[in-house]
Amino acid sequence: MSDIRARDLVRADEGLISRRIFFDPEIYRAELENIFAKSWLYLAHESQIPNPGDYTTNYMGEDPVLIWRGMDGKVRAFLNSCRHRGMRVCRTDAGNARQFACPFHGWTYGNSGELKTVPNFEDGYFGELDKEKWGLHAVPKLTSYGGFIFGNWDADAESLDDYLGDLRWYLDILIERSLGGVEVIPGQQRYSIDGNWKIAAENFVGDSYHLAHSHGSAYGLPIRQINPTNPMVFRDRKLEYYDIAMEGGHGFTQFTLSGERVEIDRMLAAEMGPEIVEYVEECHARLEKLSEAQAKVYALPFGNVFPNFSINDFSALSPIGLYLWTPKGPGSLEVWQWAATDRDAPQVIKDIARIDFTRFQSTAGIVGPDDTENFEQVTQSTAGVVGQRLDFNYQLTLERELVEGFDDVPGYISTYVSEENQRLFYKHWVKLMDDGEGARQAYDKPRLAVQG
Amino acid sequence: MTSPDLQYKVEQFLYREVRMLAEGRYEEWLDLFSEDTRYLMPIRETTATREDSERGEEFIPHIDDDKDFMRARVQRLRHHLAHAEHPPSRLRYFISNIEVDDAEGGAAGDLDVRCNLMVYQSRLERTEKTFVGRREDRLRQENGSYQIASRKVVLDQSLLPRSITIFF
Repeated sequence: MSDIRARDLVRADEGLISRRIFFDPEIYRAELENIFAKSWLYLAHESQIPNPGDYTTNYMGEDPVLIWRGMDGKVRAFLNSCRHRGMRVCRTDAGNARQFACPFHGWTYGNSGELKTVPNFEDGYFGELDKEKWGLHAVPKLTSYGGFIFGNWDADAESLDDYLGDLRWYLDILIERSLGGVEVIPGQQRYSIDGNWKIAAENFVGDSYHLAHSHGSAYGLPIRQINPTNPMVFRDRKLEYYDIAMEGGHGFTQFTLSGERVEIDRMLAAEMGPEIVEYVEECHARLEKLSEAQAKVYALPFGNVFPNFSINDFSALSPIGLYLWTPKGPGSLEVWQWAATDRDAPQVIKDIARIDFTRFQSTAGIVGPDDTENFEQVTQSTAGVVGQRLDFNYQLTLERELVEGFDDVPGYISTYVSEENQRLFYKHWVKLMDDGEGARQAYDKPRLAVQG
Repeated sequence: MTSPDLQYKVEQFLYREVRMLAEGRYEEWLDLFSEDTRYLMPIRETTATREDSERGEEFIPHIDDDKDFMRARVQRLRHHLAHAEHPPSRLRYFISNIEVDDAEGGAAGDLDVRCNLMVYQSRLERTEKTFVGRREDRLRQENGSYQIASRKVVLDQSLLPRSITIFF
């Protein structure tokens, strides 16, 4: 950013963030450069492309990418654009291909990204075009974590392990609990929102504050009758929830830390029969092998992997929701979302998960569309010059001490509900925007602590 | 060939049905569906072949409702905190290309009805979205009129213009 410093716009320690960051085109441009071209971004899950030649497509920032498993079994990702004149090489959403011929002039690429054939190679390029140099532009860093494939445009970026940091401890819960591994149900729901990508990402990073009011219409429904495995039915139980933020801008909310979520699953399973009881016990036993603390946490339940990859995971009996908030301009985003289950879950659980996903945080669900209304009107209300002079308020539980007493649980634990996760998300955003490279320490000063 | 009388009767049924939706008469609209109905909206994807584009049962759909969940949706929309439709969108439904056939494998008098559908949604000031696709209904004779025993809504968009807060 030429004359704008992110740290002047975001005063997270005071709980004040300028509305400008949600609308300003110059800031958006800088985000594409400093955040989306430098962070590890979620691309796909390995279960979507199990066989050689399988591919799927996505975006990294505004750059279209092709995620393709080569004949050698290795997954690679490429800018989905011909190196000659830039035409989109793959124009289908997913499938299997040994090669793609660019529709424009016919340059043809194999599924390791290599340039195989070029029309007029002999009589036009005199055999001198260096095909080695003109293969598809590869995403230089690509790593899979438990089947979740992430890519990074920055060849010098830290490893995915370092980038995820403490979040790995939580992702391991999701990955290890899933019998046979996580399996994405084929296909993706996609829709547009006329809103800024950050308002969606921060909604997942820790905004449990909005649930009662934004989604109040859903809580009143006879969910128990409609869907017996949905943990929303236990909203009336007084559970001790926590928000947890991690270095690197990641945050998840609505955690229970003393085994409450597995107890809920056990109660639901008991009503569903012995096969489901056994399934829940097996999921739990796998976590106990990881650690006692992870077995007690049991589910994530919802949060955001910086910058724009969100996850829902409330229970072994409900679907895993995967959500990408893909930026399409300062006031526009696309939601790409997938549902997943455990590969070896009982069929009845898989069937319920497929339907359950469509009914809640989903294109036409009873939760997602109210978020759309918020995201759009928040963004559009920042358009005016006067509005842009104001700050948003992130002061919920500001200055409140972190929760201590859960020594085996990594990250910064806040009381529920709080906006601590959002403040840390934006602190990390500032560091990337101003320094051009990530600095891991979100807390500059030691925090007071109280017993949890 | 469908008789002009039958064609007319089915068309009038459909015109009145979509007017209920445009006017937000959702409880009345629900009564048109049988208790064992299925209300389905598959996803669309860009695929190499035309047949694959409409994704089937093994794929995640946008909507796969039974009557109970349709009731829950209507109940939710009546709640004052259903912000996505409070204040309500202005809606206009267009149906055309109505084809009426005897139901394949259905009881005597059951009909398979296909039509094209365009729904225009105008919301607040600047939100204008258009959903375009086709519907495939199974109609059942019921007290001189019809009940919708199943409905499949196949939109043409692989990327929907907005999340869905209305019925099709």
